[in-house]
Amino acid sequence: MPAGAQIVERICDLIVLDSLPYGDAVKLQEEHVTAVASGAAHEKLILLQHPPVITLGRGFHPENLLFDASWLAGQGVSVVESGRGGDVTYHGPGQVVGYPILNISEHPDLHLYLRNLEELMIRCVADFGITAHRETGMTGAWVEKEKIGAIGVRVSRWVTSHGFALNVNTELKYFDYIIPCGIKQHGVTSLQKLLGREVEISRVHDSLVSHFQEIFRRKIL
Amino acid sequence: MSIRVVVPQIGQSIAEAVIVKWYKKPGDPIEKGETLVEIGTDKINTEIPAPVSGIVEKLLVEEGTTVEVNTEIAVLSDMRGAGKATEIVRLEAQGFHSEAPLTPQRASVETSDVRHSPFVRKLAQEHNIDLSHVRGTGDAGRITKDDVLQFIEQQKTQEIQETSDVERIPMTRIRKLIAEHMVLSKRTAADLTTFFEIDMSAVVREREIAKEIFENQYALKLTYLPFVVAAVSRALRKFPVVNSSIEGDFILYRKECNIGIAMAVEDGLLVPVIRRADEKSVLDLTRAVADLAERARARHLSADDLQGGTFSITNPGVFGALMGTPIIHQPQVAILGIGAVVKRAVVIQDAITIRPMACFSLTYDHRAMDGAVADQFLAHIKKTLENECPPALK
Amino acid sequence: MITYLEAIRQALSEEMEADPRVFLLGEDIGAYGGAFKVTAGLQEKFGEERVIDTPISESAIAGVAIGAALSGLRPVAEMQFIDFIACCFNMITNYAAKAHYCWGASIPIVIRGPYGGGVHAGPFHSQCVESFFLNTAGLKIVAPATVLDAKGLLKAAIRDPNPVLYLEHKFLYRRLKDDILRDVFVPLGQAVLRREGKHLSIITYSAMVHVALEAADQLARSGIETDVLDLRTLSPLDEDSVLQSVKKTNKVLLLHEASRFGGFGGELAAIIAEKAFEYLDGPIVRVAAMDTPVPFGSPLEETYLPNAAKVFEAARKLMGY
Repeated sequence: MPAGAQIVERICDLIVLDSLPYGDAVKLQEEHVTAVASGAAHEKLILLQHPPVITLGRGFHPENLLFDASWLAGQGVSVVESGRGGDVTYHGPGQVVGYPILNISEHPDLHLYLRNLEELMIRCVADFGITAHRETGMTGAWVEKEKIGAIGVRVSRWVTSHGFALNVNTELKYFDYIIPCGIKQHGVTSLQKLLGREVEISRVHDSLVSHFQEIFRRKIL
Repeated sequence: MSIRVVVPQIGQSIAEAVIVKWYKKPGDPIEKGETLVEIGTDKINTEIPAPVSGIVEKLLVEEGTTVEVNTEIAVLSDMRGAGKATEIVRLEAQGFHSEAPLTPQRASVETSDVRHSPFVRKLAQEHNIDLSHVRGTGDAGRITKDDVLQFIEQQKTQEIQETSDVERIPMTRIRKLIAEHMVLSKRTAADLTTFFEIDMSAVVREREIAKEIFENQYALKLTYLPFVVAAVSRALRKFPVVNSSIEGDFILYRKECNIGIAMAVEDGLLVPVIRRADEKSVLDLTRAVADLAERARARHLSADDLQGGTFSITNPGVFGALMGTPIIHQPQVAILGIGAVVKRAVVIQDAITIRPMACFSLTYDHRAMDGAVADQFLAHIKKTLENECPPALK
Repeated sequence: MITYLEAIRQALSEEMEADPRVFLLGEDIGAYGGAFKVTAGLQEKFGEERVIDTPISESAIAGVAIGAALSGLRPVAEMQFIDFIACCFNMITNYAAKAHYCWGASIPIVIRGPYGGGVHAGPFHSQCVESFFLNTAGLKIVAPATVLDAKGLLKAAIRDPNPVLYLEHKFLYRRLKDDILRDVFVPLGQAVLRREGKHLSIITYSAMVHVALEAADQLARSGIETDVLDLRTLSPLDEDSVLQSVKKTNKVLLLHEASRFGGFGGELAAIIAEKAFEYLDGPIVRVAAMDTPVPFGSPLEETYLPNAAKVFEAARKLMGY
């Protein structure tokens, strides 16, 4: 045992789900936010995937949705409004979505939280041999000029919800239906596209869980 | 009482936000902690709670508008008395919190009203320990019981080693802090020093003109230091990287020029800070230095006086040193040492003449800047002091 | 293997066998066997005169018990839910508690009943009532947390010549199972360490002992070793055990299910501050339920009650000192 004051890290429970519709995931997060905010529960890291859905954040500009909702529904893609920050983005199978429900009141620096989420995705893809970086002014994880990871966060009573979306084996053609995050000039990519092969989702989960504990200084038991 | 509500600085470099949604309208009551408004910044939407309980008087900004940080966006009245006083309240203003531990700055703060927990005091009494010698690893430098227990262990092993021709005296707390800070700085920075000789005749002249007026009218002793501080702050504006800090892979450009002046005190060294030095005239700077020096000697400096520095100046010349290689004060990236002003024979326009010369040493952190920048920075100071000396009198 | 509830039944049965003066009274305890079936089978075994079904009047139940005690019997009175003890507050505090002090009479009664929440029973069926009685001299109060203590403390309470409040936690009734010896007897006034460690003391009782142990497990994974002290008897308090643990770890967290303001934690904190001040290396921390009546549904009751996550968080902050 190290001498001196004991720094005990907070405990964060890990919840891994296969596929959950976006709307259900929003409700689930709201319950957890309430429990975490009241102090009655440990913080959570939720890792999951969504059936194909285009979500519109609070910063949404209608011109970034290129097709109308009923046509998209015909393609199997639902369109949902979301309480997270950011513009429009796509979620679907093969994309690992992460929702940390964390109480950041001890370090209430939202800028830092965003940067930490970027760092999480950058370190994760590094484990697969991909070098990603940040672009000032364009939050997210980038490989060359293409975006591999997106971020959209909501904070309520200093408890975070929503979070990040990492393209692992995502079907990228769906991104053609939108201008992701309102950024016209740059495309999107995925681990599968860069490596030329599918990547096992559980390996991505392991990598994320490990880096998450380091970056956010929580312990996942 | 009316309370004006402003947009908080909720993270470094988040300079503006969109008002996404008001949760209350004028006339609504609101509880402290209840959500008043939702604001959005790049990629983040956050609910902001009301700072006090009361009634919402006015909403000053419409939903969908982008506003800068610190803009007033609402007025609440807090049901307290009919006084007309208004109070500007920052919503949950927490400011920038860095993940980097604050240890380096903390190292130079010496507090005289340190409180120890009852058990720590008891241990200290039982084992005859002066707690000012014990290093605290607890929150804000608190000494914990394990710190004391560890210290006792160390004492035991050291007692065995003491011999008759060596006197072993424990370091004072301030000495320990300085020792740790210096080693940390050397370990952290890729430091090297560059030297410039500066012709101080313009400064000497300027001082001659003004020194009596400063003494008679302001009761201030005018030295060369305020001129140097003024020149330094101009150069910092021109070369902002010298006014920065390093955090991991990031360079943090500090918006204010807060210049620390190293001062020797009874048992050590303190570096109190002149805030916003670039906005001050030579007279203001002289006052600031004199005030800090007096309070440093009397040990009346507050934590605010010792924190927030972005650049430091030290003056080994005061004791006669010609030049030095000062150590950077973390988490800054450079420090300037001023050598003694000595009359020397120099060559100007192929003729030998006598000028008061001083050697300026700039130790800088190569992680933040290259030699070219450091040298240009010092060159700028040289040019200012030699050709555009800041005037003492306006 | 018996449950906590069965342990209580066994204690009642064995004491009734051993001493003919012991008898039971309460609402629905006879023919019905009790609202929770604690007394199932006892009326068949011991007859209607020793397992008495009363009218719905707690005041009468307590008053009859006191009167019976004065005439030499040893009654065990049940409150169908301990919350209803409010109805016989006068009997207990003015008659049972004061009799010995005022005129030397022994009142060897036990008042027992299902105590505490966590089962969505709402504000009238989930209370922790010890605080209403701690300030009454002349009463003993016990709260068993394990199957063994449920049996051993009840037997000791029945044999005690003083009035004893026996608080059995309804959440533990069927959730705790253990293999215990038949003849067990746990003395009143003695706390016991459920877990040992040198960094932190958690002092608690009743169902919260299990919450404390869960939190201690989580803390252990971060290298923090915790003393978990189960008080077992609230009054008379085993002060020595409390102080011994605090002097060992220098950091103390007090945990109880009763709400915070005016709860037993305040008394414990005062005693620790008075008698172990120089041993404290951090503030005395309390984790308790919120200061509201017990809520009925989810997630309100979960938010109201202490749990391992809340204890962990409080301990985490305390360890930072």
